[in-house]
Amino acid sequence: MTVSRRRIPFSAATAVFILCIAPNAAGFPNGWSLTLSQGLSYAALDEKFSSSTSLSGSVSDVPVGGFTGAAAASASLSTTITPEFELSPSVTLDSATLTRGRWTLGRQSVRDAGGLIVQHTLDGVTYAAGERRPLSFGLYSPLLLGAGNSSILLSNLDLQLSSRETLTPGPPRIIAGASYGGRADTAFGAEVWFQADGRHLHAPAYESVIEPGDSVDDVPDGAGGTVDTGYQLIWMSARLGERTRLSLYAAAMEGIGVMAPLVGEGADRYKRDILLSGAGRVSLAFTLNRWAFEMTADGAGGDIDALSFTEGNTLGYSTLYQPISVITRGQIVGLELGNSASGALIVSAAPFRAERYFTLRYLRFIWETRGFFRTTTGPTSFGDISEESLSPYLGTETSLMVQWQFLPDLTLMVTSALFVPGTYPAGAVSADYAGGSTAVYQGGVTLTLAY
Amino acid sequence: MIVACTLTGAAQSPMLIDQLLEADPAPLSLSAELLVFVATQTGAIPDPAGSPPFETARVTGLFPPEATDPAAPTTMAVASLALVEAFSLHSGILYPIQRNPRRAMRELDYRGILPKGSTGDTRLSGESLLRLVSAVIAWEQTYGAIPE
Repeated sequence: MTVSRRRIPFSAATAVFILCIAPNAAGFPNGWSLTLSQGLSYAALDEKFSSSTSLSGSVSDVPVGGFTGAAAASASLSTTITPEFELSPSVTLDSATLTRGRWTLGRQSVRDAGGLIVQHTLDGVTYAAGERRPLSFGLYSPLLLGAGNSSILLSNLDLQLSSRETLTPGPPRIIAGASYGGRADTAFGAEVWFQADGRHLHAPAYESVIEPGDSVDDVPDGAGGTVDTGYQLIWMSARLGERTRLSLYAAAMEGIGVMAPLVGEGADRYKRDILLSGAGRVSLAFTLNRWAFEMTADGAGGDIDALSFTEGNTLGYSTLYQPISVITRGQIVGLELGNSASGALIVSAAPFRAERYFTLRYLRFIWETRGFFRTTTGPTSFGDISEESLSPYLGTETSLMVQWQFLPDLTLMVTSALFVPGTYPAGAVSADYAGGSTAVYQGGVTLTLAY
Repeated sequence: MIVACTLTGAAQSPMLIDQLLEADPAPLSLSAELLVFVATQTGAIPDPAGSPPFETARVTGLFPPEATDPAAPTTMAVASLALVEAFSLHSGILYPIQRNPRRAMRELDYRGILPKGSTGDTRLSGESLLRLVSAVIAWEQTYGAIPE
């Protein structure tokens, strides 16, 4: 048995669970929830079974002095059963806030209206202005404390003690944002975000990758440094008639990259680049009785790279320009937003009227077919692209999910997915992908108990 | 109104419906008269035989132990527990283990009875309580043991 990843549980998360359970003794509902989820899945590509147990809880509307408190936390234990046994425990304090009037202080979820780019949890304070709060702005500032060969990363309160030789912590960030949006049937909004990389004050040296006398053009990609990023987003969601809704989302992103410090003095000591990219999404949703249809397409391109999407900006590879955090698309592919695009048709239905057996009304089918593409010949988060191929087509995935809340506190979810890669030369995926197989399967069953 | 017809035909006091319709929010003492009567009719509790309805509701578990003040307003939490108990309207695996207003509300919500946006702290007028009772009776007539 190997423990592949270990995070030191943060005591605040334990406190949240105590808060979650304690009100139950009194018996009154007061804005708390606890959910236990057990899943089992099989991935044909890796030939492995995996089990995932997760517990999540939240409290809200808790009086704390003159404030109103709220918190949410989650804990999970993932187990890979074959071919090798691995345990991956994690405990995360997702949010913990104190609200008074229009001010909110604490760990908050930071998310843009489209959920496409900015999706993170950071500490800070926000202020909501306006009667219906269409306007808000905030400042978030995670911390990085370092001394000698070790560092303590206070980011997302996933408290980790690490050695810099074995783990590159995420950069300290200061993220500021402002947004405005209507709340009516036809909603629109604009958002501005800025992310400053706090390592300006402590830029790591990369003398090893260049030689004295080199120019800035000799600095290779991935050589390190810092990058500040700005985001401008516009979005709208409009109802077209009774049953149709159109949503548009567009983002422009630009970065000022300060690349590797060069050996020597003077103005050319740093390589500076202006990085530009964009992302967008359009979706058209239509409902008819118990059926819902959605056609959606999204994509991103420009100066976006894909060596690491996990921690937002840079993770030590700051010649990359990336969104702060991004969604993944597809059950199997999990393609992230960078040099990629996708288009999907999603159909969901709860077809049973269930006039006699009312539990059947909670039986829902969700079918999704999505095609994946790359917008440039640069790398994407999909790792099996043939270097020789210029084709933009990665493949198509179709998935079927069956969800049934058959009891008030029990929900069963069965997921199955099939990915057919566009194998080179017809597509961009390496022919070795999945061992030359033409399709990859994945399936899972999850049972959720809502406490 | 189904519940009005049902209740006025058998109510111990014809004034009860009128009193409920005028109460906003309905005090627990008044709600107890209705809910104890309903629970007696469904056989969930024995005939109180002259005991004060509020005390009966507390002793029989229709009301949670925290409901100690008969003048306090009726909340969705208290009414939900009383109705789930009165009609044995539960199917979740956790409700029999720990009967409380929180799970009672989940049971009603699962059946589509709970008004949208309701929370445990939502105060009920007498009319709202009557509508809630009516919704439970209608659900029982459709899916449960009560014939139409």
